[in-house]
Amino acid sequence: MFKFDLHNKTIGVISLEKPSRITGEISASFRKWYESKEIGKCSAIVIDGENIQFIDSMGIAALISIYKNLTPKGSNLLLVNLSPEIKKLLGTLRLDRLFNIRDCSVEDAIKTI
Amino acid sequence: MEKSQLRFSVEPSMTDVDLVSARVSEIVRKASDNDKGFRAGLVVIEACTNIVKHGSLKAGDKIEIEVNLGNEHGDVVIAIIDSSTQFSPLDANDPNLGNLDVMQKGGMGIYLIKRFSKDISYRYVDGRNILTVTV
Repeated sequence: MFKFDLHNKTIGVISLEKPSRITGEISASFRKWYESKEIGKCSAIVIDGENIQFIDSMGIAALISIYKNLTPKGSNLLLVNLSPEIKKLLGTLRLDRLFNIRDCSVEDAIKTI
Repeated sequence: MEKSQLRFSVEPSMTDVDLVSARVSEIVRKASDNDKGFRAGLVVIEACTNIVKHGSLKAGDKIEIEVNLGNEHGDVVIAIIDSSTQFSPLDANDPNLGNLDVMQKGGMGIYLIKRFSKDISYRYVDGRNILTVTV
């Protein structure tokens, strides 16, 4: 369901293989999955939101967990291709001040890192 | 969306809560737009998840949850009714948005319901919590 690709040896890209909702039990599975990926070793993580149809507070808690894992090491968390509704949700929780949210492709995001 | 109310019985499991939230979201999205569909689905999943995770009953009893979906003057009205002990989500304190640890532990769901609704009310009638949310 989730996919992890490494670009330029240090930039991790997380995406969903098909349109999905990040809620409840899926959020728990997502957390277990990315904990197995050693994302802390990456200089940056890009999350491709193209296939994220919906996210709830448990899914957001999973994103916060990734952010907390990266920031002590000075690494970045970038979110791209998010729907307007999900961007609004993150803004409501003021997480747009912490996460690097961009309106661009994964490839363009990688070029700027 | 038709004027008559749609009624969903929700099993107290995260899987069923997600299914009903997705269904409500899709119905509202088709009848209105993506924004309202997202809001409706969010209200359902956050309210019902809270009941499944925190609602308490006497030992052996099963929580009954019902979601009613209707429209009023062009607004979507969602009533979430459950049989767990009396609890008003409106009494919950807003989470500290400056503290990620606190946010991760909980409180975001009810906050999001409040922020993504036009109107919200709570009643406790005949042993049932009734949360009515307009989006």
